[in-house]
Amino acid sequence: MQAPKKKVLLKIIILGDTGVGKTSLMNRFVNQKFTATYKATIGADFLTKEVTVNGQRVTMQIWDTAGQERFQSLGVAFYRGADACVLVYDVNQPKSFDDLESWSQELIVQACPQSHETFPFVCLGNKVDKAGPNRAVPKKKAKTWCDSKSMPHFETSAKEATNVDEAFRKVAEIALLQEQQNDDPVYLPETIEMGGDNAEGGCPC
Amino acid sequence: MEPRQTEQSIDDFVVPEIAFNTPFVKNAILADGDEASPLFAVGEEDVPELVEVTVDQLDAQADTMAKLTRQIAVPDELRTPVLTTKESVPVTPSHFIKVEKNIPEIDRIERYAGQDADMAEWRAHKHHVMIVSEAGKPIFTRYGDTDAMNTMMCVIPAVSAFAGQLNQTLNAIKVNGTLHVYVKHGPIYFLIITKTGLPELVIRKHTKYYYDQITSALTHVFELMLARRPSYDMRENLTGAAPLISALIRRSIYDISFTLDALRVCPMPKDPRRDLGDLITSKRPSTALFAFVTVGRQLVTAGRPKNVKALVPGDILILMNTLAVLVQSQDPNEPVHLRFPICLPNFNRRGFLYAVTRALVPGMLCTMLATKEEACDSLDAALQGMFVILGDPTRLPLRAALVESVASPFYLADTVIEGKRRAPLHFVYVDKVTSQMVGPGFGLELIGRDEQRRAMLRYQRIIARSEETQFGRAMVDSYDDAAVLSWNTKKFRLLVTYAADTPPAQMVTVVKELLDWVYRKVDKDRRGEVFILDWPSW
Repeated sequence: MQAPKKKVLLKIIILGDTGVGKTSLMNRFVNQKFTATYKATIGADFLTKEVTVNGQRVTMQIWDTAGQERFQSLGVAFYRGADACVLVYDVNQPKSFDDLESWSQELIVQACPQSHETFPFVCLGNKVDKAGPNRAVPKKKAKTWCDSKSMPHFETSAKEATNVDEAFRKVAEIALLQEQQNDDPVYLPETIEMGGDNAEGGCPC
Repeated sequence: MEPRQTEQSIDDFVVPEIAFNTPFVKNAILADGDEASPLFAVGEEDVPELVEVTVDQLDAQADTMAKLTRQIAVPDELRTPVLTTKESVPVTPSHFIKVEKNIPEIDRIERYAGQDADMAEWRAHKHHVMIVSEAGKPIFTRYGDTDAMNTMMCVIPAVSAFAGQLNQTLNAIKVNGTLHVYVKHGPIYFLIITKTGLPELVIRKHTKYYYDQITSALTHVFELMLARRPSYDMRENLTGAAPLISALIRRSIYDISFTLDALRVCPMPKDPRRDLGDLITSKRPSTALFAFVTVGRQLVTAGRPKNVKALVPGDILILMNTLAVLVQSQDPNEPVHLRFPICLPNFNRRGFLYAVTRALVPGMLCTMLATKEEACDSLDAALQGMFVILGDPTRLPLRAALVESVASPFYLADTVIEGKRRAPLHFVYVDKVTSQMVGPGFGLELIGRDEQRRAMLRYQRIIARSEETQFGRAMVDSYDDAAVLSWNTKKFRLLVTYAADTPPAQMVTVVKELLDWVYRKVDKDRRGEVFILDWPSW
C-alpha cells in the first residue's frame, strides 16, 4: 500500500561554487562521514535523510549539485519544486561568498517559487576548520549579508562536523514552515453540467 | 527469444479475394452508419451502397471513412459539454475514489511495500513502473515504498533535466536486456524498467493509460495543483487509487486491448443484445448520461443520449479497469452494488461523473453514470427495476441469453474454423472503424498461463513493429514454437498465432477462413453477434 502522508517530503537543493564542500556537507549530515579526497560532482548527487522537526517527521531529499562552470545553469527542470535551498561558500574563498548572490538569483529565476521574498534559503560558510585568524570572509560580513535577506547563517565544518546537523535542521525547519504556509487546500473539481446548449452541438444520430 | 522476422507485401500472400472482395468492411461501414447511434466513431453521413467494389474503390472509401472518423471523433463541441462551476469548496482525499478493502491488488501492493531498489528482490521484478513529479517527488511505485525509493526516483526528472540541457529528449535506454523507458505526460514523469520484452512503443502507449487512470481518480485537479505548486506531494490524494493503477499496470502488460485502443466485445446473439439495449433505453432515468453492460472486461452494450458526444475506447477501458478492482472489493456473497465517482479524462477531465453499478444477472454488470451525485438514487432505482424485469417469466429468453453470455464469454479458436486440421492457435481481429476487437479464448495448445502471456507479448511486439510499416503489409515473426502474423490495414488489424511448422500457404488459408468467419458473423442473418452494432440511445 502506498504510504499515506505520515511525513512531509522536502526537496532541498545545495548550491555554491566548486570545491566549497557541498558534497562533504551532505555526506556528513546524511552518512556522518567525511573524506578529505576531493572528487568533483558530475551533474548531481542525491541523498535522503529523515529528521523530526517539532514532532513532524520530515524526509529531506537533498539534491547536491555540481559547482563547476560546465554544470551550471542546470535549467528549470532541475530546480522545479524546490522547498528550500542551501547556499554554501568557503570562508577561505572570498569569490565563493561573492557568488552567492548569483546562485540565489539562479534558483529564484529557475525555480519560480510562489513567493520570491519568502523562499527559504540557509547560508553555510564551510571549512571553518581551515580558517586562520585572518579569514578571507569575516563572519560579520557574511552575517550582515544574510540578515539583509532574512537568511539564517551558519559557519560549518564538514570535516569536524561543526554545526552541520544544526544547519540542516534549520533548513528542514524553515522549509517545513514554508510548506505549511503554502499548503493550499485541494479544491473540489468542477461539476459537469449538461446544459441545454449541449444538445445543439450534439450528435444528431 | 528474438523472433526471426519476415515482412512481405500482402500481395505475396495472394489473398486479394480475402482482403478486398469480402464485404465485411462495407458491412462495417454500413453498420456504423445505418444504425441508430453506435457509441464509437459515430457516423451520420450517407451510407455507401452495398455493392461489390474494386480495390481502388475500397481504398478511396477507406480514405473517406478515415476522414469521417476523424471528423466525428474529434469535434470539440461534442467533446466538451457545457460546464458550470460549482462553488469551490476544499476537499479532503476522502472525496476521491478509495479502494481500501482487502482485495488481491492491495495484498500485492502490501506484499512488496517493504522492498527498495537496493534489494535483490526488488531488482528481480520484471516490470517496474515509477511515477514521479517534475520536482522529483515520488507519486507511485509498483514495487516498494515511495519513501524508501525516493532517492532513486528523484533521479528520473534530474536525468531528463540534464538531457534537456543538451537539447535532447531521453526516451529509452537498453542495458543487458532490460529496457528503461522515460515518458512525460503533463506534469509527471514515468520510468518503466522492464525485462518482459515489451517494446518501447507499447510501453509509451500504456503510460498514457496510467496517466488517464490517475486523472480518472483525481480529475485535472492534480495538474492544477502541480502547476501552482510543483513541490506538491500527490501521494495522499492518490492513496485510495493506488490499487487501480496497480491493476491497470498488471493488466496492460498482457492485454493488447490497451495497445490497440480497442474494446473486447462479449459474444451475444443479435436479438438479446438489441433487447438488452431496448431495456436500458426504456428504463434509464432522464439523468443517465451513459450506460454500460459488461462481463468482466468485455463490453456487451453501451448507450448514451443522442446529443452527447461519443466516448473514446480509452475511457471505457479505464472504466472497466476501475469496475474490475471495485468489484473485487465487494463481498463475493453479496450482489454487486457500487457507487463511485469517476472522471473519464477523454470525455471531460475537469469533473467527476457519478456511477452506480448493479448486476443484471450474476457476472453481468450494468453501470449507469450521471453528472450529479444526487442522481445516483434514480440510477440505482432504474438498475433495480431492470433486475426485476429480467426476473419476469416473459423475459426468460433474454435472461437465459445473458446468462449464456456470462457462461461463454469467449469463442474457442478451434470452433471458429470448424473441422479444419490446421486451426490457428489464437487470433485477434480488430475492427478499426468501431474500435471493437474479437479474439477467441486460448485453446488446448496454449493452455498454460506462461504460454498465453508469451502469445500476448508476441502480439505486442509485432504490433509495435507493424506500426512503422505501411498499411496493407503483412509480416510474420517466426519463433521456435509458433509463428505470429500481423496484417494491418486502414480498416482492420488481424493478428494470428500459428503452430511453428505451419507452411505459408496454410497461413494464408487460415487468414481467409478467419475473415470469412468474421464476415459471416456480421452477415445480415447473424450480424450483431461478434460486434456491437445496435447502440441504445435516448
